[in-house]
Amino acid sequence: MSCLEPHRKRPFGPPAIVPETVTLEARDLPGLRPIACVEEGAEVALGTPVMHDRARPAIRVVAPVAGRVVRVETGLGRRVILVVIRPAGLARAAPVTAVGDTRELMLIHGLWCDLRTRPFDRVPDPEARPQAVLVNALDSAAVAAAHAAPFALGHGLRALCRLTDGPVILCQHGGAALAPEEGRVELDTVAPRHDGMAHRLRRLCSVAHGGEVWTLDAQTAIALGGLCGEGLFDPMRLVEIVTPSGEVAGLRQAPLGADLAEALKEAGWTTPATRPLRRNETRIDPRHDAVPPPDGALGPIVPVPALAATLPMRLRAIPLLHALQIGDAETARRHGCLDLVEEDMRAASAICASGADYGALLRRVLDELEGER
Amino acid sequence: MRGGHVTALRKRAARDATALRLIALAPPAVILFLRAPGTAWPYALAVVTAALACALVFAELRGRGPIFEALVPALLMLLFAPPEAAPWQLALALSLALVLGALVFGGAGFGFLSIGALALALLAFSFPPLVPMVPASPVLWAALPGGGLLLLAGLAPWRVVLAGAAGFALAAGPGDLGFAQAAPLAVLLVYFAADPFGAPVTGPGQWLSGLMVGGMIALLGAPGGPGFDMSAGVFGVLLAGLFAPLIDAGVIAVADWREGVHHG
Repeated sequence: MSCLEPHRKRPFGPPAIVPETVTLEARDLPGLRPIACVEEGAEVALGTPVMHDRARPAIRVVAPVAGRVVRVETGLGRRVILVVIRPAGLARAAPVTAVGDTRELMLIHGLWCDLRTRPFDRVPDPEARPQAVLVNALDSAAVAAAHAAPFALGHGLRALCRLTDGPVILCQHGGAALAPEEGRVELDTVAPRHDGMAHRLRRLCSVAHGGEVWTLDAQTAIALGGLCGEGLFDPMRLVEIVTPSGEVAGLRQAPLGADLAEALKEAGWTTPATRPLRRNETRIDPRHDAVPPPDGALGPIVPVPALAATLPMRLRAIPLLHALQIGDAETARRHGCLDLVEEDMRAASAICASGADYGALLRRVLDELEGER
Repeated sequence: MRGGHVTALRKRAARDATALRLIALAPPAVILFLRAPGTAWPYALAVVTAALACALVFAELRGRGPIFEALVPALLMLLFAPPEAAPWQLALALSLALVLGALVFGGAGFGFLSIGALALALLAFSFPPLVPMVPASPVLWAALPGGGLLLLAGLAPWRVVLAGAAGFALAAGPGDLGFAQAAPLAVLLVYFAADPFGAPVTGPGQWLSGLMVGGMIALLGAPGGPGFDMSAGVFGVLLAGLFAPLIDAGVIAVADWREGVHHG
């Protein structure tokens, strides 16, 4: 069996995707102005810095595979758009010397870019201290990863406590606890309902009235735990692939940025030539990639309960959607839009008859509110 | 399995709102036709033509806009208008209601009133002896399954309907709530008071609005009159509809104030 054969079984876990190319995109780094620190043709090892933020060079993206940089696309002012690496061999975990505290470890090994702030959904400032850290173990990929590496998850959660003075909350959908509660590590296992991170945030530590909370995927916590506990840097992530009929085709392992086009074709999708695995992406449903038509005229909002239930704003879901449609940032803030990020609006956009892309509308309002700060 | 179907229906309800509301109104309209095939035609032709013509003109002017939503108030008008009215009177009242209540705001869903109730009220205002009537029992009964469908789909807020019944019982006294009152009251509450675009969107607002409609029906109703006073119902719905945005704003202001207290 060749080491480059796709879906080669790793010793444990779901089949791994061995990609032709690995694409690291700057659009996965909201709030940063990344510049490249490698050139086309350069050889990179696993963990070599590939790009870093212009203003805060400590925030950097590292190569998730060893290989050769085949393309560096830059825009205005040397700003990187994407970096493409052609891997040499299979991506696998490698031992590293893990020194420094949690912040340094996450920055050095590129895990910092997996963190997101709420409000505004940005990569956080390395100097900041959030009120709480919420770890997302709601997707089945995260749950599978947590089952496969319970000790690493525990290590990771304890390490995350050093980022904040508040709690580190692991959010999961019912079931057995994925990690033990100890110290400031808390578990939120409530609700069999399939509510998202926005519901958890709104209930546990809303930022609608100020403050900042960081969120991250449980797989990032596991990777951090692997670094702290075993000194292993694992670039592989589990990802769930969905078929066109909405069923789950299965879990795959892939490094960040891996080209998933082959695996998606196998699941029955007709995809573009390449479809890289994006940062923090744990479920690939190409229906979500479809860009809605930029038609200016929006229809009316039919205020049905199913639409209101997609958002955690109990009383204000429909007024908030109205405010987003007309771009009224102040009213949207009053209705709690700071607790939300673009991906929370996906269900509302799917149900609402108005044809509005609430993710884009929310982004516009959040950008305006962020500018006013 | 049934739960899955209901969930799917509730998720699709917003996109299929017009279709579901027309399906709900189809059985009573069919019964109306079957009872008096000869006399119903001119009325049906008048209201459908008026509704589609208004919607088409505005759709043409704006270069967009679905037009079939206008058929919902047209069917309501057909069912609840008094038999003494002439077809042109229905068409005129309906056109006015559609234009003033919905189309000038941008179409169905952008206004804030139940267009059906507005059309019936305009008919009563414009031609004074013509007041909305409770349709015959078979028509009324045929409207109930559709009402159930709207409640199930979430297109008629159940809180408004429940609070409306409670408000009526409270204001009229439980002795007055006979079986003959219950069916017209239910139909009025589901099809007019619980209009998806006319009712408040906050939960407490829906309770308040429902109580208001129920109370108004009992208070405005002709004292001692036999049966159910439909005109009182229509005006109660209109008044509650006028207050709906205010009620929502009040509910949200109270919630804001409570959150402010909570967060210091």
